[in-house]
Amino acid sequence: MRNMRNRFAIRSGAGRDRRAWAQCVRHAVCAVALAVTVSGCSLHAVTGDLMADYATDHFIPEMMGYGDPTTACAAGMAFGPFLAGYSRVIDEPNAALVPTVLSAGLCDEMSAWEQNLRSARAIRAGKAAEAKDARVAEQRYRAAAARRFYEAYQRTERLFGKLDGQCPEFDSEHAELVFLLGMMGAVQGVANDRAAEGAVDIPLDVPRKAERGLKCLNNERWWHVPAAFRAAIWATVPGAAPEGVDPWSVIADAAEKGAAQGVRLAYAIYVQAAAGAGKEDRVRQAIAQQAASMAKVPAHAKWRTIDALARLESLAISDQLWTKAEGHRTPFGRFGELPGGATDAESDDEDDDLLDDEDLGLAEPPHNAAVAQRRPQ
Amino acid sequence: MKRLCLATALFALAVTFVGAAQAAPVKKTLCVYDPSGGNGDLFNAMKSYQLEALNWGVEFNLKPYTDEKTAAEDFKAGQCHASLITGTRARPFHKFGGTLEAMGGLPSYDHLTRIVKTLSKAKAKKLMTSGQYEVAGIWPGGAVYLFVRDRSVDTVRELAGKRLATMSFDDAAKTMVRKIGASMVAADVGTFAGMYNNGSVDACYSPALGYKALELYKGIGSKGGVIRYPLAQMTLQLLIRTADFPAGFGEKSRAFAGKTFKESLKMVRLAEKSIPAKHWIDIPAADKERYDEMFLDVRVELRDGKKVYNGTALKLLRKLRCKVDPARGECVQKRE
Repeated sequence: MRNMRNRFAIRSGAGRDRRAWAQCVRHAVCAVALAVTVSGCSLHAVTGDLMADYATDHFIPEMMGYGDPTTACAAGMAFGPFLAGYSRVIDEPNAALVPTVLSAGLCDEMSAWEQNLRSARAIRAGKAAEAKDARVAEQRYRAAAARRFYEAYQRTERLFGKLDGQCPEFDSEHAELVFLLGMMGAVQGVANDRAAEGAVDIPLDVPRKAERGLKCLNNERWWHVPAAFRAAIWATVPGAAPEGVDPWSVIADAAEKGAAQGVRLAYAIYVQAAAGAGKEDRVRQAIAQQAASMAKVPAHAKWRTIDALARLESLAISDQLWTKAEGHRTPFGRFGELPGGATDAESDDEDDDLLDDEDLGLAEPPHNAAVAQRRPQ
Repeated sequence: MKRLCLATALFALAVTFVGAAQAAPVKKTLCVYDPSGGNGDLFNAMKSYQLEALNWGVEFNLKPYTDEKTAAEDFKAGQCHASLITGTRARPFHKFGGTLEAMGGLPSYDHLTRIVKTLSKAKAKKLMTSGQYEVAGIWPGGAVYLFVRDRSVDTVRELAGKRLATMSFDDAAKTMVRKIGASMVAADVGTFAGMYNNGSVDACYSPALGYKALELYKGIGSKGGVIRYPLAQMTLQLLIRTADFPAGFGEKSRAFAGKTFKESLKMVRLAEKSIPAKHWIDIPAADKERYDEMFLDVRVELRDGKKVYNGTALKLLRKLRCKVDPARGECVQKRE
């Protein structure tokens, strides 16, 4: 409004400015009054609808393309309660709240990762009390993360109805995105709750419900994440996998296809599932492939934050493995490598022959070889 | 019995002392040449190296130098136990290491990576040691390109008579400039960019990093360009006096540098990407072959005549080039 006033002043001079300003205010008041009268709602309700629409139409799409999960986490923390407050005067703005609450859960998860690393470092250093303290702190963050992730799932259910085997009708891309994020919230919520010794008591049938819900989404449209998630659930929930299906092949295939679209979330699911199942070879393979893909295929411009989140999730597992083995997190710029693997220097045997040349002065003197041959057995 | 107890106690005491000695890292000074000083990329890379060295029993005090000559002189005078300087500047201490920067020796970053990885193997220790000195690690400085103010000067023939900023401490460069008939204008790292940008010289050579950092694009202007043909590979070499360091330090240090070499190349590649496509000058393959032969002649001359280059290093480089591309003419001639 101030800008409008300033622009007017420049154009028309101070006297006309005052008149125009008064007119402008009158128009605004009339517009709001008309809106309130027509809708039969309070000013807060009108604002609530506006904010919910703004969040789904602009704020969340902007966040998705922003490419920075840390910003998404902070925005989720700050914007979530603000939006949720409108639930008192309008229908719950769940379409906006599911992504927002899920982003806030990421903040707790990141804090939990840090405490997990602190605990691992303390264990290596033989500091029992500090290791215990870090473990307790991690569990607190895990519980907070579980609470938020589960809230995202519950809000998804309230938005689309109970997941009783029938698929909801999606009226927009955003609706599908919300549904996908809700299912992610279910899986992540249970994982964090288990790590927090069931502090939130999320029912254990939630992952199975999510697995069935994920069938409702177009796999290809959502970067093969539905297939990867379902297969991850098959791999970790006993008896969940269809007969004759190898969940790991399904995840690996989904990860590769999703990466080709510039959204590598299926790789993060692959890494987490493999780490949870203790399949270190698969963890190594998935992390290396994810890193290699990042160098070749740029992140999809519309979903940069999802792709960056995928990297962050896999980096967290990588950091845990590095810290346990070496006492520090993944060395800077070396995401894709894990400790104890074949490093470049070790695996580069291809040029060994360059040094096998007598003229370079490195070959064993012939008489040594002769002496060795004569040595008694 | 008493004697046995005493011996056991003495042994335990000795073990304790040895253990304590192994645990405490020895303190050494590492003089780092970085044109940007303590805030530069090289100095930053050495901070990571400094942490690794703690695992090998050495605590480095890093000292930045913006003047490479002083860094080399302080190393020679014993004020630095180790020094990170360019291969060319390291040549008087370690001819083999310095020869890795030989003109046309390593035509690509793939060649460079493979040679550094090969030399980081324990088997190569002898090659990396020269008298009291040892090269304890090699980092990339970037391929050296020719920057011209007039892009029509894109052949060696056209360089004849042109003024070329030449590092006055580099005998190899001086020989090359004479061979192509260019007019040598003595310069150093601190002056060549200014000469090129203000038109005092028609051409200069620099790694791609200089395009932005030294504003060489000013000299390129609307008419000039960068000839996409690496003249040499600039390297940063960590020189140490072997006797000053714990046994096996050099091997561990080289293994680390070799293992992380590809990562170190990232900055160099980024610098090349910063040069816009319109400023690159591509030359025909036939010209490149001619230049390869010309460089071969100069390398042999510098090995046999002024003894600037080390023959073993040249041979190793030739073996690698021929392994990568056996069809090269030099693979039959084997002059190196």
